[in-house]
Amino acid sequence: MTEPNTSPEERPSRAGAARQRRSARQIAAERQRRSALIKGLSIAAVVLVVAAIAGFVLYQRQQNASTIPEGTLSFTYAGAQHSTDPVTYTENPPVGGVHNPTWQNCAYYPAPVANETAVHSLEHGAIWITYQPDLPQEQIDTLRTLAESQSYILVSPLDGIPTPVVASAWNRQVQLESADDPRLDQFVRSFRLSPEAPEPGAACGGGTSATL
Amino acid sequence: MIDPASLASVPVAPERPRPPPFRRWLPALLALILLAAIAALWATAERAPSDTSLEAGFARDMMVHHDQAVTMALLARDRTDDPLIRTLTTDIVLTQQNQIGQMLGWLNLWGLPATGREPAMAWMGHPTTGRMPGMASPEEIATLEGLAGTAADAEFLRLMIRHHQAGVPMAEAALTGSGNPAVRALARQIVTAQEIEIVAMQNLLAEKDSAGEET
Repeated sequence: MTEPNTSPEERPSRAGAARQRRSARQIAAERQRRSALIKGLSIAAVVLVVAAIAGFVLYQRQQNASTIPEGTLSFTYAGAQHSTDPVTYTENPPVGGVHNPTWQNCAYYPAPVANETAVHSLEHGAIWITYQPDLPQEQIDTLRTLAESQSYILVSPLDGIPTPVVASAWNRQVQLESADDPRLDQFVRSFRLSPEAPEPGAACGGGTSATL
Repeated sequence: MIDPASLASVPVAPERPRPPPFRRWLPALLALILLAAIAALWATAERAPSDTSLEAGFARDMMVHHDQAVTMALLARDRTDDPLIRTLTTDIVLTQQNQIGQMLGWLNLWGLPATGREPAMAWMGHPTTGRMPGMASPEEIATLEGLAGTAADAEFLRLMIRHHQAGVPMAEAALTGSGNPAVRALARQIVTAQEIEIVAMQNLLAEKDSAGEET
């Protein structure tokens, strides 16, 4: 047999055979279309699932990441230089640079602390929240609660800072009009114990609790 | 009958012969196998805990809890004349600082910040604003700072027993709820060590209190 798809009963005449062949061709074409459809749908299904997984992973990564608050300033101080001499800092409050060998214990302080010891706490991954001494009491209480419910938060008043509340981490700072600005929490989430600090996780206790 | 030779000369079948059914369904089969493989990998892959996971919450909160234990132990160590208290506080400082480092390391590896978006202890069903249970108030820390000798020892023991008593249930919650081997191992170590230390500290405190009554 040279015509595998045509059985003897299906060939009563030449014309009939041609009709049969045409319809056989149509059937074959249909089958080919169906095969192509199966192939196409299979590829589409795989692509869709892979894309969905990739999308989910990216979405979750984005959800996990902290959003650096708008207006965050960046600096480029390298860590670890110690000095017992008073230091004149370029920024107020300072965000890095030479500092005292002793660090400031992370806590709420009702009186100013030494810049040199506070900068050492920044080096250890602390967030130093400074406020203008005339900040309304409710806002001071908000900052105090923050310091007393979290580790690695240092809160103290400081004269001459550019806005009522300024949050600083090593090489990072955000200047805020109020302690209720949501950017404060964003800043804490972004930079508290961040790997950006030269020594994140080094102690923020066992240092000094002295005020000026 | 038609001569087979004449039939062969008719220009037919430019289409390929019909493939057997298994060949036609091969792409679908391959796709199914591939999807099953992807699903299996996805299901068994060790994924980093998410930002709101029990593991992340435990690491963050236990770091804060441990941080105060280290602070109090350092204060007591600087104030004691008792070699037993010196050893105990040295042990607490070094052990708990090491554990803080492990937990901060996890968070870094998981790509998570050390500060969560949810309140403390939300991961264990007890969202807490302000100080977590067992934590000493700033006033209690200030009191400890102002004491010396046996009085400082006793105050430290009182604060530290309470601290551990609240730390153990937190570690137990992680042990019950987490399938992460590293998290479970550390949680188990914390439960075991702190339960033993609570008893040891209660005994030390009883000695300090009776010594205090005698003098």
